[in-house]
Amino acid sequence: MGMKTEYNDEWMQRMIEGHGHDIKNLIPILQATQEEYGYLPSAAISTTAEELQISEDVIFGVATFYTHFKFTKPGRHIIRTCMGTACFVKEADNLLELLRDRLGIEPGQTTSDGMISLERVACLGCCALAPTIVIDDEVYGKMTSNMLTKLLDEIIDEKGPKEQ
Amino acid sequence: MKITIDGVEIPIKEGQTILEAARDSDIYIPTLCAHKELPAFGACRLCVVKVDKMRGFPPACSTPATDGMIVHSDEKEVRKLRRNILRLILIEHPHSCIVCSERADCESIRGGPVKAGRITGCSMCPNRETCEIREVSHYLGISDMEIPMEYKGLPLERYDPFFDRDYNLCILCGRCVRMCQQIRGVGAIAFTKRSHNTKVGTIFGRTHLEGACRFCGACIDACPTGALSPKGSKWHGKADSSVESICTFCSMNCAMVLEEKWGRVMAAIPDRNKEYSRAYACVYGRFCIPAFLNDPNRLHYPLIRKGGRLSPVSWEEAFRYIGDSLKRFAPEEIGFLVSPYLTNESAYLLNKLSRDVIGSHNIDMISKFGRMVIQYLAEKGRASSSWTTLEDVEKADWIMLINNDMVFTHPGMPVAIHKARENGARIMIVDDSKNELEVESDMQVRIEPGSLRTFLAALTKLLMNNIKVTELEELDSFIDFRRSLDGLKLIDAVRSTGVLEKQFSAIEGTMRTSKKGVIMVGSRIMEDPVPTQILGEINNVLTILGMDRGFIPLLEEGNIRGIADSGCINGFRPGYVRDRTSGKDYLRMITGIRRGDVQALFISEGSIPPEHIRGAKFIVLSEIYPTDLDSMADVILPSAVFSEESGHYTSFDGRVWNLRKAAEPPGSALPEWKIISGIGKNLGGDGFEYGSSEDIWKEMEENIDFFKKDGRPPVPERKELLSVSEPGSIHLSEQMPYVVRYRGTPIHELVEDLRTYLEENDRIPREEDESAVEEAQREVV
Repeated sequence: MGMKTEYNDEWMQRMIEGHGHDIKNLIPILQATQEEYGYLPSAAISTTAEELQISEDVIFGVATFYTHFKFTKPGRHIIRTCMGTACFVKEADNLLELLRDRLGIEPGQTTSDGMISLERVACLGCCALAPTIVIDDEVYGKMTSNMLTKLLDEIIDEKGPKEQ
Repeated sequence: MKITIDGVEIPIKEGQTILEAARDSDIYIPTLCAHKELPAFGACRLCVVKVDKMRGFPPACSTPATDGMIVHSDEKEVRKLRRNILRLILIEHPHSCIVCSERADCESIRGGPVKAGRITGCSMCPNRETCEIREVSHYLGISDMEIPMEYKGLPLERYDPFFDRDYNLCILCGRCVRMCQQIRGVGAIAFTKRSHNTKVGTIFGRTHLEGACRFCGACIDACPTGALSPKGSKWHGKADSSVESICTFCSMNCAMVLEEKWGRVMAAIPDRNKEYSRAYACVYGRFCIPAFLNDPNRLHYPLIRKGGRLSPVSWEEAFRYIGDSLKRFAPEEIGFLVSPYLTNESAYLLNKLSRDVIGSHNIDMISKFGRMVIQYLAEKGRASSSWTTLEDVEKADWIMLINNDMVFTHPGMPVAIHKARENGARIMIVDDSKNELEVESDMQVRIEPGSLRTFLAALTKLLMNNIKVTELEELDSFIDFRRSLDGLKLIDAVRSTGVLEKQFSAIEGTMRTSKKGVIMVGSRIMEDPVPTQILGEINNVLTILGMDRGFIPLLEEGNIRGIADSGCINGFRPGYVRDRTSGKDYLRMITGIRRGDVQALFISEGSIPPEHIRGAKFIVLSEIYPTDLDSMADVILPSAVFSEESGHYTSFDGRVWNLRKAAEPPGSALPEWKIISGIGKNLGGDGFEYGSSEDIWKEMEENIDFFKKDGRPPVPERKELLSVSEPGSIHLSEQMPYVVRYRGTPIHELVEDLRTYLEENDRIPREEDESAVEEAQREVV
């Protein structure tokens, strides 16, 4: 997960200019924003609101309709817990509970130190490995609470999970 | 064209939906999301009907009615379907009050709701008589729920001023969201998230105070549930009585229904049945009326200064004392400073008292901007004709807004402007500071402070280049006008205003496209040392465009227009008939007091700075709340407020409204017309024997052409050109922003939530800074 660029209002205005100041371009504008920053910074929403002459609240309403859009800066590491049928049957909810407990955040949120984002996904397509957890781009199958704790310890100790 | 609903044939109009046609013929079809003032939405599905030759069950709200259609609404199959739809809605809405076996008894007794923050049971819901869910479920005959309720458990939102929100009651009909976005043009709320998590909310769950909300309360009035409730008026239950009256806090005079309980006005609700003003009511009228009028500090008894102290006396004694005291002064030593919140009748009587009985022609209005504008228009012979109306605004092709803060001074006006814009009007903002409406406009021109005259002059010059004005060339003033324009170089105007040449021509081009335009100007032009010059230059623009109408000064005080019409303006008797004897206007009265020419004053509100009247020997003050002038007054008379008397008001655009009495005044306070009559009789004046304010109005209608039906003269042609000012920057005098008030008392002084709202928007200094400001003001004085 490479760090995305820092927020830049000039870039934002140029990008909106490119799309045209019309409310029908709102979603492409939001997509471009997320592509640039990895999420929708609140300053970007303000600028979009001003340029398109609609309220920030309306933009927020549109954006929250789509799970694609994020409102918090993604962390250095992203942990995705699979909650598809196979993983669910294999008690992936216990793993999610453990992550919630340990990180103190809900799926969709990022720890306050900006290190770890937690997400839940529907199915990763490797049900034979259930329950599955993906940390950054590495897939970990047949997960147990013990293994997950170890992995977390490593991330938190700043070693990075890939050294394993 | 006709359709048949349940065997009844009803007429339809082109483009109507089945629901609209049914409503017009008083046929009830249950709905929860449809609203008369909003376009169809189709969210609740309760209005499903059966239509012959159509598949399934189309919703009546969004199905166009076509000639010969046969609709079945009140049919077993349809009712069953609707019942099940409503049950699904009720799963997420606490509904113990709907399925209760005691419902019939409850409805006949119905006390006020139990004060409780969270609404989980029937007795805690503040939605008292107005619950549409109850109505619909009663119609459909729902008496049981087979599916258990699912309580959402959302946190209460009670941290904003004016209203509470409990979205556990929300059925997501979207009326509030649509009202806010489509009618008010604000968009402070939206549907957030989706599916089960959908909730009406704000960006990142911010408070409304931080967000775009203007606290107009339109969402509350549209809500079919008790999810949104006004803090100030949710617990008193059913009103004892209600009257149709108006709000008097600004000159728009929105129609309101005043609800009375226990002898007081407990709530004011926008009158949805009045086409003209139903959508404009704002934070002041919707939320502030009860708290402002019912403050315990209201004056109760007449007071006379005896031995340095104010003591309560009877009205007879007060009248006698005033009569005896005034007789000691020559007529020209007496002055009348009139509150722009009096009724037309009271103003008419004050004119009679001053000019006819006492013989003093020193009479003028207590106002800055309104007095300046109306005096100017009266001198030009333009005050008596009908003014540009709200309808003209809504139907305009272009609107230019100059130096105003209408979001705070006339919060209803942006609603009309939003409607105009939806209809295709171009909105142009010309302002020397930030204007809240910039996000709702097509062109924003930020001019350098002090360069408004130059801006208007340059605009005039551009218009002159492009419009033939042969008729105007014959005017006496034309030569000087032409010469003043020749001296103006566009490049100089660009330099001193900061407006680009292309902006100038874009504005000029837009204005030339149509004569259906409106120029609105706000009170910030009073910062100019000669504000009438600005009015004159606006008149130039309209003259060249050939527009006889199209000018709206955003008059602030509730009845400033009406009291001027009724003769409380210097130099003009009622109906703008020239007063043949000259008298002193406001400013000359003030200097007259200093010189000793004016010695006695009758003042009908305490908003005048005390230093203006220092030195007067005898001061009668009629007011509703104690003010800074009390320490200087010899007599203080407690007056009734607008909800405690009947009479007439005239809004900024010349429409005459009925004020109706909703409650009794406190103590022995009297309506102003009775006070003036009392003084008049004691001075031996004739013509003060009125049984009611209606008698006065009749006298006005009979004797003065202006007040007769169609009695106002036609709008005169614009035939005057004023030489434009030299380009450059005028030195402006600093001015405090106007705060909305009534009878001299700012509304926010008595309404804490309004103070919070205005502080947040920097319209008034924060409470902690206020003492510092007062200190600074004292030094200036």
